[in-house]
Amino acid sequence: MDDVIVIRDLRFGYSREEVLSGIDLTLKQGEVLGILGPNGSGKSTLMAIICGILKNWSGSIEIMGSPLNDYAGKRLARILSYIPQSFDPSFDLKVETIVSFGRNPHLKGLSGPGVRDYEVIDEVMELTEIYGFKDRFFSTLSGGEKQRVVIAKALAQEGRILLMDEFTSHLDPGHSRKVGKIATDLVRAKGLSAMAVFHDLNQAIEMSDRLVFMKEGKIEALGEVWETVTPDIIWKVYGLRAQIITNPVTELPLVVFYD
Amino acid sequence: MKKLVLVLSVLLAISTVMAIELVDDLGRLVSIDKTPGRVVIASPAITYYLELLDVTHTIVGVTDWDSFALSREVTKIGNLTPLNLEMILSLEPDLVLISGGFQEAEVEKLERIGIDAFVVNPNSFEDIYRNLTVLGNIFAIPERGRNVAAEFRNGVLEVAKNVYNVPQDERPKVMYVMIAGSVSDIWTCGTGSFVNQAIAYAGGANVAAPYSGNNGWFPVSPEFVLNTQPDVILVPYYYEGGQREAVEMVTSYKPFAGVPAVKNGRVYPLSDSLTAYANPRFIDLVKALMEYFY
Amino acid sequence: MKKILLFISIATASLIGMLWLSSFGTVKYSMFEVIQMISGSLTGSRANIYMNLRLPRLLVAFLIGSGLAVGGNGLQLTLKNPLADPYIIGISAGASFGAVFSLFIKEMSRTTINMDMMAFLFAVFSAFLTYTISRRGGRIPITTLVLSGVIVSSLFNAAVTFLVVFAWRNVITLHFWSLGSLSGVTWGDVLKLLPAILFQYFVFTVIRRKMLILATGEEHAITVGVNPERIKFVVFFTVSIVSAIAVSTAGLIGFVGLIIPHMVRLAFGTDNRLNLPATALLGGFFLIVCDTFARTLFQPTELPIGAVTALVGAPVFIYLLRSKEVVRNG
Repeated sequence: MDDVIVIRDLRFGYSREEVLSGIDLTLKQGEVLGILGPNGSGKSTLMAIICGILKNWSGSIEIMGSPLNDYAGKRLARILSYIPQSFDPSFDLKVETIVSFGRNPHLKGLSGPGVRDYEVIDEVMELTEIYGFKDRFFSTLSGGEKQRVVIAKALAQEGRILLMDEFTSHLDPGHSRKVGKIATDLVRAKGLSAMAVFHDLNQAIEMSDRLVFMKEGKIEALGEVWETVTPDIIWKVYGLRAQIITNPVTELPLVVFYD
Repeated sequence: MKKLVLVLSVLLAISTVMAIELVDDLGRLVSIDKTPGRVVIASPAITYYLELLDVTHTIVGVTDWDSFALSREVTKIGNLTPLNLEMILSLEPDLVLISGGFQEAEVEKLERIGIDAFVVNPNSFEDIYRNLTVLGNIFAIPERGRNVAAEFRNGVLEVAKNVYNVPQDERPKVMYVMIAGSVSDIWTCGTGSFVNQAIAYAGGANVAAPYSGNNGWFPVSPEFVLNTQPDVILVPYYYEGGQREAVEMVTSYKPFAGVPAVKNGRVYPLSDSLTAYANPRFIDLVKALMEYFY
Repeated sequence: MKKILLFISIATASLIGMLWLSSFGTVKYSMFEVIQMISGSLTGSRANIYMNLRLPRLLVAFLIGSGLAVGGNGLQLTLKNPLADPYIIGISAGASFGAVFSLFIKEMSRTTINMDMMAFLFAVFSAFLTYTISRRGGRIPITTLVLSGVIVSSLFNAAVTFLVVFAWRNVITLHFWSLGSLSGVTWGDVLKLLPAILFQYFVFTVIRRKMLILATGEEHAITVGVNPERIKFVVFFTVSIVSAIAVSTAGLIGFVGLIIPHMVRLAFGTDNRLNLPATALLGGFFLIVCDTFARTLFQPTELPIGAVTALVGAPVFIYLLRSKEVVRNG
């Protein structure tokens, strides 16, 4: 079974306007699928539907071979982790406490985390390089550190699929690269699959295996990086003129805007 | 020796039989096992009854607002509500005399901690009369109770006799105006209140008599005053020297300038000790009213 | 470790403080007498007053304070809002309407409906009413929560006034009742409150982790497998039980559920395991302090305890409204 998520004719709308109008998409095992598109194209809505936040959609979504609606809350959370744009708890919590929330789907009923859970928590904190400040309060951290804590929380869920929604867009370029790299490296090292909404075109190109361009609730292009990134599609999706050159360092496409 | 024991046991039996049961103004059946020697008065309305019955020596505690405490050394027990139960319990009373109305909830509290309470909550001339006899029974002076009650009734009727055949259209139209804060917030009394009854005995025609409310009291707007055009307006005052201020509250209110009572200077002050609660001072109230009316 | 020491010292100080404060009042006792009376070696009429009036009053104050503080703590976490409290969001007003309504029915139709039950029904109703009104796209902003609470409270307070006028009851009783008083509580009230307070404490201990997860945001809660609606329902339900019994025992007492959880958060942190025990302990002790003031400040006249808690609580509320914690959530 190579496709971990299969979406067919997904539609979703609020009372009058349709936000998603017929999405067909698959996420393959082991890949990072980058999602691009202007604001309001339905990227975040798509994410929210897959991780169970939004209901009342129509069409079909299968995750690991079973329909999404068959998953109860905890079962879905054991397969799928979600990393949002920003994470801003109303009350100040310790780093370790927040990471430990990721273990919730594995806990039975109302019991607390056990030895094995703390092993996982420690491990993911090491991987994301936050172990050193596990006893600090979340509000005292920098933006980059905060997002690493959220990634650690998502990893602690030990899901096979990671959903990331513009999870570096609030960071400065340095931290954005670092945090982005930590996340995608972990996906590849652990053999996970990921769907990631990107804000920055070139970052998306660098970190994804395949790309999806969305506009007004529809998919405009889908495929390998070199196939999809064309001046035409960028004009069509963003309304910007661009030239595609080869990045001398990575040999991947590099988008240069000229108006 | 045997005889003595016999006599003593007979006396004992008699004193046990002495226990009496009475119904109070809340309809509660209260049994009085022995003549109360220590009494707490939880409402200033009741003190005057004990003064008339001449049993004030039994009073061990009164509320803060009771004028009885001005002339005597007596423990003050605080507010009417909530009652300071610790204070009352520490006075070890045989009986607590209390009003109804907003004190009803306090009666329950007293019951719960095992203190005998008797509710005196008169609303009319007749209630006052009955309470005098009932209290006479409680204090084991039934004769005195009956005498004081009769004296009270005769006193009121004696005064009322002077005006009872004044025809309806010759009686002054009267309104009792209690102002709570500002003139827009007026309370008056209609059927069911003892003040309404006093106005009638004193030969007045209460303009609010066709209406009623809780214990006969209800709020009205200034329009009611303009609409009924009373010849006499009665206003309560709350402290000695407060008469002028009380009257001016009404006379200085511009819209009332054309009301007969204001035009003819017939806005009269009444001490609130006469109108705040129904007790045997009712007779003084009737006398005061009659002086104003005729 | 430091936190444990802090907790132990607070607990010890509170216990001694409670016994000491219990000696003040219309009847004054020495500490020695207090200990003798509690251990049962001193009897008589003075001891009778202490054991039948003072001690149950002390315990009821502790239980209500503790229950309201723990309830406030739970509401704040689940609504992600540091200003939530049974009084602010209208649960107490709903409960007081229910209580008065049961009196009203008794007056009108001579059928008795349990006052606590009625208070509870309307407490739950008002909780969900405020919640529904203040919800804006999945979030409950501070301002709308406070405004909806005010609206729901005034709705129920108006309804209470209406009932009172309609039933020709005296308005003055209502005034005292609406500010709350612990005068005249008995051992029966202690026994009635205890199970409800213990139940709430137990429930909140058990679902504490899920409440914390919910406090990080509903979407986050869903993505780690927590059902926000279920947790909120359990919390509203539980808080309503406690508020209802507290209101029908002692009337409206505000702000305890607001300031105590805030102080405990400052001292212990939100995710500390001592947070809940400390909230319960300090909430109880705080209300005992307030009741001591109510009892002794203008002796022998008693103040309504709600006036004392409001006097302390309102400035803290204003401070909170302007503080960082709230601005961040605005």
